[in-house]
Amino acid sequence: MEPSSSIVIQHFNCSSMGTRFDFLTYNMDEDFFSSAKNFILNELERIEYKFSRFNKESEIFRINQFAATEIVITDDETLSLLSRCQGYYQKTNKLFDITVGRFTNTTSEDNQAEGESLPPLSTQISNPENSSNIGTDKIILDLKESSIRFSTPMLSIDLGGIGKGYALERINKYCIENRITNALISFGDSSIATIGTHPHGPYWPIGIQNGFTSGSPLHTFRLKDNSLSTSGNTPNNRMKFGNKGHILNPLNGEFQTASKTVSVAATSPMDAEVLSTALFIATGNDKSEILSRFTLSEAIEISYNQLNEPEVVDLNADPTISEKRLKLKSPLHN
Amino acid sequence: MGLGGLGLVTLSSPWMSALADNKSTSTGAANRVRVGLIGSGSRGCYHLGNLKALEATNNIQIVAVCDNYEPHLKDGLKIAKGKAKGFSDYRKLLEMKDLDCVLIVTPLHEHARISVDAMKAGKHVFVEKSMAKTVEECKQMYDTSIQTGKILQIGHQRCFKPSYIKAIEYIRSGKIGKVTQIRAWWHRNNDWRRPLPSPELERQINWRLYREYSLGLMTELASHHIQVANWVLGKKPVSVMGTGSINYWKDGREVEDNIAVVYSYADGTKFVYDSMISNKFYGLEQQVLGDKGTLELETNKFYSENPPKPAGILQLVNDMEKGLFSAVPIAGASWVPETASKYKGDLISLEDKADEGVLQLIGFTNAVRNNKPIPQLLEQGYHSGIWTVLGQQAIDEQKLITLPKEFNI
Repeated sequence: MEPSSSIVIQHFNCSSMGTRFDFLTYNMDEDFFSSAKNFILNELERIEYKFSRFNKESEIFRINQFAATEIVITDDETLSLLSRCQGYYQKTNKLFDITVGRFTNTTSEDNQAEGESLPPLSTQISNPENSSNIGTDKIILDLKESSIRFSTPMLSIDLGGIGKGYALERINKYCIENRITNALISFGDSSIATIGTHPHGPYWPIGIQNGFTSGSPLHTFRLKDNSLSTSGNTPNNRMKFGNKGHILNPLNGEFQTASKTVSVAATSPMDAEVLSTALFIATGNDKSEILSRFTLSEAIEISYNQLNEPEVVDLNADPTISEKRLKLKSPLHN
Repeated sequence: MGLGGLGLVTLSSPWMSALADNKSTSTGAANRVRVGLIGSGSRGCYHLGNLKALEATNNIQIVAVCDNYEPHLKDGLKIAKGKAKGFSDYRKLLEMKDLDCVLIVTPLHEHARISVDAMKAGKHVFVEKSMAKTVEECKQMYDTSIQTGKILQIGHQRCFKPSYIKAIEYIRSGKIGKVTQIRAWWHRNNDWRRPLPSPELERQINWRLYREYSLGLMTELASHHIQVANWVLGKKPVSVMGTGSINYWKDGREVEDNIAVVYSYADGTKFVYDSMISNKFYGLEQQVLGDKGTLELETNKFYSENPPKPAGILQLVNDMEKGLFSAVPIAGASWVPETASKYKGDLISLEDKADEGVLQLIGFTNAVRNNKPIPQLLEQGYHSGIWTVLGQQAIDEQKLITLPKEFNI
């Protein structure tokens, strides 16, 4: 632990991917900090430019425009990211799906990006003719030929559900390669990556608050060289997204309106981000089945009853999860 | 229809008190409001549809429909059904004894004459916006309402829209800071014509295109946003300048197909408005610009000039500086999970599903039932009507126009 008098806090923030991004460290060489800041800002811009489906110059926009009708050649980074998304799709029982993002459009501006107003996903799923228009498995990758195509005409990729996790992974890698020993990196307090420790303690303590009342945290994560992602619906959510919320179940097209949050701590920021969304949607045995396919630190669900009283559940505490992990010989398990 | 209207009553929107009326849910004839409608074209039929629905819930009854164009009269009576009588001459309709109020949904040039006649005949009046075609007519209507004690309500339905009322609260509370500009536009891409059964009906059916009957884009579209701008600022303009032309639809029309006006208020605030009918890309919007935030009223959105800082990071930095080791708070009540790919602002109000077109009729019929005008609503309509006409005058005369003193109320 560092005495407070010797702490030089270094911090910068910017707007990225629709939210505030913060990078926080301490006692770093100033020139090195400046250099790291430059890299990170450039990398954030690069990732957003390349992968945002709203940017008409982006790789994803190009793929969305042409892959339904022709084979599109793309680069290794894009192929690798999409390949990982396909893995996540299978490992989460299809609850993480990068082809449903456009159905969460909340503004006419976003619908204009589609060139049309979309009927709700639930309506499309109920119509067998349209239900084939989604599904990450409809993205056909040829890693050898560096190509991609869609097996169905109306498909569209949206990486909004994983973009921040990917950015955190890239920044994390840079920090480690450049021997940055302590840092906290955050997208809007929702997706957080940590390196090393808090200057005054043996980890970075992140507390999940009660969504309705102030007070002590309901659960505290002790992060050290790992990441945390939180998905959920809170009162302030509803002012942003309306009563329907913003998390869509790809299997039935319904928005998940339950009053709860799911927080996942894992070494991989992408795993954490994918899992926090998938576990929010999953019910019953699906949760333990999904968890058994990942290595993670913690998964905490906080749900609120009609009186707004919280219940904290450790999703990883199910003893069958460990058994499944040991027994699992499927290539799905990492 | 229980709407919790009292919850939305504020100093800035006192007319919302008209929505809370216990007597509206009774079914007795003593409290029934008998309504006639004059002008059953497309807008009139829209109102008739709403009135028909309110018959079942708000103790009103459509007792008469009038239109001097036979096909429209038939359309109106079809919607009204029941025992509604049909008229082709509004004066005959006004002779009905069992009639409490009228909705006037005629071309603009007839608003004043029919409204004044109706009030003098003892009927309360709801007349579509804009109030009238000239400032003299606006004043005459206003004076007649005061003199006869009859309710006169102008059809500015945004006064009843929950997101607008909430937006006004934001403004009054200082949430968007000092408002220095309001902008609005209404862009469409069509010739604004209606199908003609025969060419002789051109001026009757397409009345909006001719200066004898209408002031075009100003009265038919701009008047809405002029009313809202005045409501937002809580004052009326002191001057207006403007310009316009016909640069696309050169088909013999007499009204402009594009206009632009700037209203100035006493403290220097501006309301900037334009309308055109040869491009619809930007559609319709009204923006209120303050030094702390922006409201987009038509899309129910609020944008902060400074997106909120996450409480977690602020506290973390604070703790580190003070040598404290405590949990960084996230996912509290003010936490917003960011999943969007760009900042999309926040909704002004969740309670935006209510149809303001219906609410304004509920307010009107409740006011009729209680024989009590709705607070400040006539003034909203009057100032909008006057300044709409003056905006057109600025376009016509190509000079700065101010309000003649005799039209102050």
